[in-house]
Amino acid sequence: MRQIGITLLLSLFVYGPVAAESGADPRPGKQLFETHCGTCHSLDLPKSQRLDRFNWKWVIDDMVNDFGATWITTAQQEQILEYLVEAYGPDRPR
Amino acid sequence: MKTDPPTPPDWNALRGKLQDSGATPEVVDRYDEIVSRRAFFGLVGRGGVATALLGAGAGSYAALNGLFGRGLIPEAWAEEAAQSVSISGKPGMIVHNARPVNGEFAPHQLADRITPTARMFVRNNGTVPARAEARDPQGWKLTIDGEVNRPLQISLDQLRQMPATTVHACIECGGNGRALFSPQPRGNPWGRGAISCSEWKGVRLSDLLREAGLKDSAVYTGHYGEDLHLAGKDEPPISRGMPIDKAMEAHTIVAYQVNGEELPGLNGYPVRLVVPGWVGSCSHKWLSRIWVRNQVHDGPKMGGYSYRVPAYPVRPGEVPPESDMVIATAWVIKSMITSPAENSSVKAGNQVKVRGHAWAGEDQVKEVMISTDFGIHWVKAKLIKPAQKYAWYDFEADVSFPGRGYYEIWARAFDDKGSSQPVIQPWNPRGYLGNVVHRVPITVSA
Repeated sequence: MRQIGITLLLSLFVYGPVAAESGADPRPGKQLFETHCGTCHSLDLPKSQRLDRFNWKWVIDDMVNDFGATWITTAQQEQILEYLVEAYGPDRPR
Repeated sequence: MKTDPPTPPDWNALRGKLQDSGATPEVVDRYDEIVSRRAFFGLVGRGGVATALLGAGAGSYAALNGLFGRGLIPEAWAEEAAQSVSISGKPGMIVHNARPVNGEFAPHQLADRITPTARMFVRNNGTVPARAEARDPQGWKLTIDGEVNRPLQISLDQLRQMPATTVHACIECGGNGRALFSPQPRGNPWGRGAISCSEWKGVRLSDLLREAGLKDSAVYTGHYGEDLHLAGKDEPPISRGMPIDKAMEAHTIVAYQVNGEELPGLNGYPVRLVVPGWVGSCSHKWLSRIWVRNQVHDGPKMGGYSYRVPAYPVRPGEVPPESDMVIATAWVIKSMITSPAENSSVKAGNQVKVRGHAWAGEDQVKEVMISTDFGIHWVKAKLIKPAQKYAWYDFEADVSFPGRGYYEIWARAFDDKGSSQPVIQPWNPRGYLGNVVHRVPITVSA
């Protein structure tokens, strides 16, 4: 747990402020999901969902437009969407 | 949920690693600033960081956000926070989400006629207010303003001195039963346990509104609480309301006690609304203001697809345009089997007592039917009517099983308007007002 904490913390400090200024983020979608989505809420809820692309896009749009996650760039949203559709799609085992 | 406590962060080691990794002096300064404010977090490490993130809630969370910036709060801390703080006082709760806290109990844990406080579900939209965590009533007041002749500000002491009433009533999350929709809509996957039927003590909202003097223009309420937005937005995480008629109904109260004690932090301390029979989000927690409106309230989660259902039946998976969505209000006829528990084993021929509850929003429960053979045959359960309008009815029936095999006990309630529970759940985009027949799997041995 400590190692995870350190790694995350460091990666956040190093990459965090840079990401918003460029286009595609060098980090994988999984990491973007954990970092950005985990800022406001724990990840238990999204990980318990099995949604199709339409619904995951709906969720991300709501988070950015209505729930204040305005700092996530369009490119990052796209990367997170691809990850969620792949990892938490309707046919993934629970 | 993990059970091993995580190791607390080693702040010096972290700083060294940070420098080794080539962090700019600016970043290291920021790190030092954070660490120097550990006192603010309470004890460093387990529970301390947790308190910072969740416990002391609002202020410390905002401070963390401010110091780290967006996207910079390590998930590991969040997990730690979730374990140590969020579910205190709710042993055995099935936690769907730790931050914000959302959890329920299994039907067999909700057998009591009066739901014990420790078994009341938790559905939070924002962070638990610092006041609720600290149980600090100092400075709390309730404002009633808007379309009234005499805007009010009431302290907790003043509220407690007003004539009180006790209401035994169901509060049920609008999304209770969502996990039983197919396809399963987005949102907390509530099973059947996002409901409580406890005894609430407080002041009738109608008394307060009369005191304030409703203007003719008053048509709706707008509710505000002390919980803060998860993303630090300068707006409430949720602000819903109800038509004035429901606000004036005698069982709609401003509650400061449940089951004879002060409210738990997770369930709205020090004061919440109790709006019986309607979707739970009307029963605003950590209540601080009621804004009487001259129009349907338009706060966060009143519009779009939140707590709204299509005006007409839709094909499963179909999302109609926003303009076709209407506000979800009263609950519909529903029942739940609390005994035997799901997936119990019984012996063939033995008598089994089936128990449970039934409730019907604004209506009355007329009967509950029980089947043990997938709805082919039904027997009528004994129904016990509660003393108060919005409390649930209890039911019981004796059944037995002819031989070994897989069976299900089904309960289906009927209301006084002729409606009953569906055997297949009708669908809506966000999974509200689910009331499909409860099916309890039973293994029968010879």
